Amino acid sequence: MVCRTIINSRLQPMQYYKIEIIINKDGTITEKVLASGTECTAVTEELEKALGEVVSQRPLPESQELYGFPETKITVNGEIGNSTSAF
Amino acid sequence: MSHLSVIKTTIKNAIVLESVLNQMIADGLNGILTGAYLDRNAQIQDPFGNSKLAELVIRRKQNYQGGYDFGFKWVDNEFEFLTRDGSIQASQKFMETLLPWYARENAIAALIAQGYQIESHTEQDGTVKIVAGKWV
Repeated sequence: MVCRTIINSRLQPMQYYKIEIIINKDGTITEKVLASGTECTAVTEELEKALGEVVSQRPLPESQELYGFPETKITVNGEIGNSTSAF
Repeated sequence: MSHLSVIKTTIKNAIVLESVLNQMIADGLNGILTGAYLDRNAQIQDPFGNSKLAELVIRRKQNYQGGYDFGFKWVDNEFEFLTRDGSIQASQKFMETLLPWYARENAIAALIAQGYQIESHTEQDGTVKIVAGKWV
């Protein structure tokens, strides 16, 4: 049983979970998690619990990069354009 | 699947909270915490003047603009901020400073505790960015 567990766990490819946390001036947090597969939200659930209360959560396309992350930006006059969030 | 979450900071980690409060007292917070000190498991009055036992209490100099003590009491799985009426401006400034400070220290502590490697930590115009990762 132990051997089977070890073998099975070895069959699961490891993956790197990259997290970007932005702490805003008002203390709210924006967290971006970049990973593939379906376990993404489960893996980071404990972290989110430790940080506070999740107000909203939405999936991101797999292809998005951590840096130069494209965002839709709505300008003051209501026009929609693209921008790149860079720190 | 990658995801994006917006998280409202709630104060749950007593160790991080105490550390940040001590740092804020050392900073003085533009006079709001000058001469203040931290008490553990002490009595504090709530906005209605009722005395309550709080886990952490900042004893403030009472001659500072009629200042009152600031307390943190564990209620419903998070720390609740307590102070009396009459210190609204000071308590607003105090909480505005505490929340992002706590959020930063707590994020770093939580990431390390959960096995993440911190790749970078930058601050710009009061906004903090932490990038971390781990293999799972």
